[in-house]
Amino acid sequence: MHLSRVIWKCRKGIREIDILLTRYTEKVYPTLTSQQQELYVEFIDLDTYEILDMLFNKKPYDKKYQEIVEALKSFN
Amino acid sequence: MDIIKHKHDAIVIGAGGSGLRATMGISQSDHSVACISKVFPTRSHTVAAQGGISGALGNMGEDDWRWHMYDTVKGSDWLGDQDSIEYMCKNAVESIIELEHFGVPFSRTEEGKIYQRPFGGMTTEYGKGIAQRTCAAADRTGHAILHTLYTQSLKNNVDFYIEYFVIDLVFEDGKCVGVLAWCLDDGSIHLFQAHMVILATGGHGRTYQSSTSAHTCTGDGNGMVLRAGLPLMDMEFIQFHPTGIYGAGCLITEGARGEGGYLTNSDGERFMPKYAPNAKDLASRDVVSRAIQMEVNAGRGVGKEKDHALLHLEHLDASVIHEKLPGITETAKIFSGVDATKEPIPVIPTVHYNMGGTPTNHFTEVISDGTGTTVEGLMALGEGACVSVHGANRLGSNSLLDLIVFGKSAAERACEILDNKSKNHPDIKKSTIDNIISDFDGIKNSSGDISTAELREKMQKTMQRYAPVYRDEETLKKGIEIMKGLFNDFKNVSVSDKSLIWNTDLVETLELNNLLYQAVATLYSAYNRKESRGSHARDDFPDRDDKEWLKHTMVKIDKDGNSIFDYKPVKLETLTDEVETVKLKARTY
Ligand SMILES: Cc1cc2nc3c(=O)[nH]c(=O)nc-3n(C[C@H](O)[C@H](O)[C@H](O)COP(=O)(O)OP(=O)(O)OC[C@H]3O[C@@H](n4cnc5c(N)ncnc54)[C@H](O)[C@@H]3O)c2cc1C
Repeated sequence: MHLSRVIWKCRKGIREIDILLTRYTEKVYPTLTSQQQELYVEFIDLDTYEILDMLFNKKPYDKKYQEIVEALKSFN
Repeated sequence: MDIIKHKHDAIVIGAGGSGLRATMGISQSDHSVACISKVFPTRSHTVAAQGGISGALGNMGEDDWRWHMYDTVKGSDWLGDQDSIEYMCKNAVESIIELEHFGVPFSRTEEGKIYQRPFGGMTTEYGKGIAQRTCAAADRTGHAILHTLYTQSLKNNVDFYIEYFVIDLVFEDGKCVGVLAWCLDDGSIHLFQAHMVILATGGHGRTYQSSTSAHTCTGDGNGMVLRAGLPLMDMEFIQFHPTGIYGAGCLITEGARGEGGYLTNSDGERFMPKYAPNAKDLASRDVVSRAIQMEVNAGRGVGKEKDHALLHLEHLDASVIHEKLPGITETAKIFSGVDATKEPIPVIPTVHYNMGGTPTNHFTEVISDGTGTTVEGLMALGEGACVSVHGANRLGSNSLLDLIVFGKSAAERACEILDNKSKNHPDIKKSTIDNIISDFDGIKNSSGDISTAELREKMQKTMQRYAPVYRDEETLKKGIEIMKGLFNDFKNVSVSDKSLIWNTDLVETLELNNLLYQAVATLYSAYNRKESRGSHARDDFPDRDDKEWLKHTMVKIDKDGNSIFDYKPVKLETLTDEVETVKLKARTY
């Protein structure tokens, strides 16, 4: 998916998530393989609080997102 | 350019809590309604609201909507219009019960009633006791409301136009007759004609460098209103929180200072005792915000730009932090890369709510002057509007209430007006549309020497520095000078991407145009109001001045960034005789 399309999807309604996802997407998304990109887009399309819960380890979640979550957590 | 035309009885711009409630209401009538949103509805900023929604249900002890009204008037520092406040507080109970019936999963008491929690400024018996008045769906109230209202709207065959960016309002002979929008996905341009256009585009927190506002909060509707030559109201009133994480905007609760956290400046000095010898770091929000600002102004800010302070928790036992302040270390780590158990958190006063916006009467019809003349075909509500229930200062959990109560009444009013209108849409002159398109093309094709991101950052830093919590003539004057320059620099902005498909560069440039209009409006209004009231604190005019300033500011901005002022008296009379006017007195807690 085109980078600017993905950047628009980073608008999740909560400031801190918007900032984290936008920065990460701008920097890292273009370097991903197409398979990774697909999974990443699927991830940012999840509900805003599902993403928040994963970042905060609030609930167990699908292992396939683990790499993305860990990368985001240590991105800053 | 081909323009795709649509005709509806009503269109709602915005799919946050306010827009969806209005959309849903109209969809239950015979009138056709479309809802246009630049982001998917459940990505609207309402999703961020966690605390809850207020209403005198009295589930946890005696309560009365009149007490709620008293608290709201007092919270507003008497700038709120008492007819609108009466309307909101009286209709709160019914509106919340309706939300429950639509499916919002409110948290419950053991007996199965909606649970209610205390919230700052909410009292019983006119300030005597503490009210438990705020209903919540766990800590995701906004999320629950958005999802429920969106689901309900889908059931009623609403036409949603999602990821469409509304560029401007369309006026013909002084009447609002529709909007022009750009479909971000395929680049097509659309004319939506309607007998009633309802703006619900949210607040404009992003005029500031540090705010809790999501990326979407650019107050686009307010920009359109100003470009249409209409005024905005009470733009000087902006609510700040003293400790937002620098660069991220998420708030660090007051609890952090309650547990022993303290602030320092670039000299490593604990500065709060200078400003509040007794309360020190536990002083109230406004005192802490002011102290940070004074330190920064005195050149003792930390960081590369010397523009913020440090909040220390690292001296506390890690187990205390984890136990008493759950989530804070994760928040600091993930969103600003700081390990709060080892190093201090960078903080800065952060914009949290905009009281000002598009002026309306208590029916949410947009008004164009101080006498309340309505603009045919245009309504506004939500954080982008100013009805005004929050006056000079909003109470927590009154904002979600504002969205829901006035969303419902906007729908009712729109239907009433539509019932009496012919179903024929007027012809729109070609030149009307051409003018909007030519402005749009002008921005798209501009290739000056300053990038959108650069200009936006300059604007945000100027607001943070020159329109902060505490203002005075000198700083505001300087701010106006700089901001007028930035406003005119917009002509020199460069848009690198010239396509119309997913051109986020162009979207952000259009949003920046809206932000710049609102930023100048804010600065002028703050400079103009020579008193302190609620969130507007002037160091050179420290007192409230009811003789001169018990009135709403209305400001228009012309194409060159100049201001034109008008005033509207505060409505002290209530709507009905079910309640008496809350009489003027000093606002002390
Ligand atoms: C962190 C945080 C917590 C909060 N907690 C609470 C709380 O507990 N209780 C409370 O009462 N209040 C709370 N608030 C305040 C409250 O959340 C907001 O005031 C409220 O959600 C605003 O709703 P809205 O419907 O006006 O706008 P929004 O929810 O911001 O929606 C605006 C809509 O307009 C659309 N839009 C904007 N511009 C355009 C355009 N040009 N074209 C097309 N569509 C457009 C957007 O897509 C969006 O759908 C909180 C705020 C924050 C920041």
